[in-house]
Amino acid sequence: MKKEFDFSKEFGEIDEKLVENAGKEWTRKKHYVFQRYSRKIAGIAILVIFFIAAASNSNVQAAVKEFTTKIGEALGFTKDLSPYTKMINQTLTKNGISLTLKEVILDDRILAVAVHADFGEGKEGTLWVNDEKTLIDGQWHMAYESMQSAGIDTDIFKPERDTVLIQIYEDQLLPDGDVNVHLVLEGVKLIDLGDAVALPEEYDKESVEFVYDFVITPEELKAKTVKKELDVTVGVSGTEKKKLTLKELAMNDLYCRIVAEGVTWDDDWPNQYDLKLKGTDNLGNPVSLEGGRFLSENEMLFTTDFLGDYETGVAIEDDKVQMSVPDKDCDYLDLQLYERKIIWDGAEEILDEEEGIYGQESGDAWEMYAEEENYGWEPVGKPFRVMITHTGRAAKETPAPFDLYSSYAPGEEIPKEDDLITEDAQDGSHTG
Amino acid sequence: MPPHKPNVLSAFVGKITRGFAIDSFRKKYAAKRGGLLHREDVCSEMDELKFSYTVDEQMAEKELVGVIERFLLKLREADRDIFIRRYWYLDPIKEIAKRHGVTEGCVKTNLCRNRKKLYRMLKQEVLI
Repeated sequence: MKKEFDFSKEFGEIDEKLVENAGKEWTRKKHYVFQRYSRKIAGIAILVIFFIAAASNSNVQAAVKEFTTKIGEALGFTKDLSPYTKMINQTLTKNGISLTLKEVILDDRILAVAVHADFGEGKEGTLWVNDEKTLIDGQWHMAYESMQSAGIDTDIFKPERDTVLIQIYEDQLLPDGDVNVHLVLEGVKLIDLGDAVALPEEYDKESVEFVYDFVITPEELKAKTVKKELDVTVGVSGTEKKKLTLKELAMNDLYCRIVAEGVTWDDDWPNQYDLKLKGTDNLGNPVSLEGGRFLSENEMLFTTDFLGDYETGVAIEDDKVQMSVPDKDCDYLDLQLYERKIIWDGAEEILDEEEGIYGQESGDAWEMYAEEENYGWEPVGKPFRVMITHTGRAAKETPAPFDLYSSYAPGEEIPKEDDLITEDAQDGSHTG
Repeated sequence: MPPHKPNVLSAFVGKITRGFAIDSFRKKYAAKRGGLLHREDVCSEMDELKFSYTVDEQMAEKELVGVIERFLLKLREADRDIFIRRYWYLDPIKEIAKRHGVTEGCVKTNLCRNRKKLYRMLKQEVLI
């Protein structure tokens, strides 16, 4: 017998305290979250919860797994992150919750911490970084995204587990040398209801703070971050505005980011479609950068997702978890711009003859994005190549022909290499 | 009144109002399949989170609500407020945008992303 999960019904049963809080006038953090960032970030702060085991992409390559860091292991990095990782291994215990801060990675864009949490026998719990109290180099920074992963095979809420918390920053510029970090983590035990668990009614008052003060040097990661200026126009021109110019590239062993211009944050295209750049580097590593974030009104950010390039709905095998990050020492990236209609706007339009107006009939949007349909992703314009010239390195031989197949939906005609757009990155250099 | 005293009366009253609003809207929606009321959009969005599961995989109702609550707790305060204002209070996007001082596109994108995360979380908790 099948049962139907009815969100509208279930959501009506959520904790009254949550509802009550949302029933009040909105004042808290409004100033900081939105007004503070309105000039720099057109999006709003987004918290992403990772459940890596829930998602998959069939193109993910098997990776060599010789992890020396918890952060690398949990997120599926193929590169050894230990040169950038500060080992802390400090344990604090409060109110029956024991938290061991194991590892930290820090640079201008990310703060990643690996912790071992123990909420007590049989007690499930949850953790987060307190943005308002955490200070990096004495400065307060609002994270643009917060992410949590319990790795590939563990429950993110189970009583005892390793967890990786990641904060993404857009307004941070760290100095050279040592940086003082005042890290404030918060944890709360969930209430055991027998056949279920629930948040404490006043979870914000019952949460416990764990404060760690340490010094970390982000220089190694910053030095190994490749930054390029680009001038690559991609997409198509037409009645719909679907063209972007890629302007900046930054990549290291943890992430890859490309800043693009050509659309504004209130244009229909980025509001109605998910966008991504997908392909491979010349070493065969999968590359996938999600678009949609705006750093300013007309600067869209494409960035690798710490979840990897996985699609919802297909189970992923443990040994298939891999970040879709190019090798920072690669010679070029072969990429294709893709768009996908955002689900909330993906319902079929129907005509109401009685009213003479168009409405929307809800369909199963998730079924629309089936694997055989490339999960709804449609290529926009032609594939293109971004050449990367590394300073201080002798020119390499001409790269092999593109392997473009992975950039195209099944059944789609793959263009000849002559049809591809090829652009060189300008001013190739490593930052220092 | 319910058999037990609700902790927050305003929330309880709101729950009744909300349930009535959704029910009455759904009936109208099913009958006419048209109209551009904002609640049509809300229901359409909420329907994205529908999925079927078998009795063997069934999760107690309380537990499903627990998953949603844990998801809400993990959200940033502003995101949580936006999510609850939209799907509990059934606020129009425009009003939520005004409440938070951001554009409607911003709110839509935020809701879309968080719906996806909740869907993924629910599917994993129920089916795995």
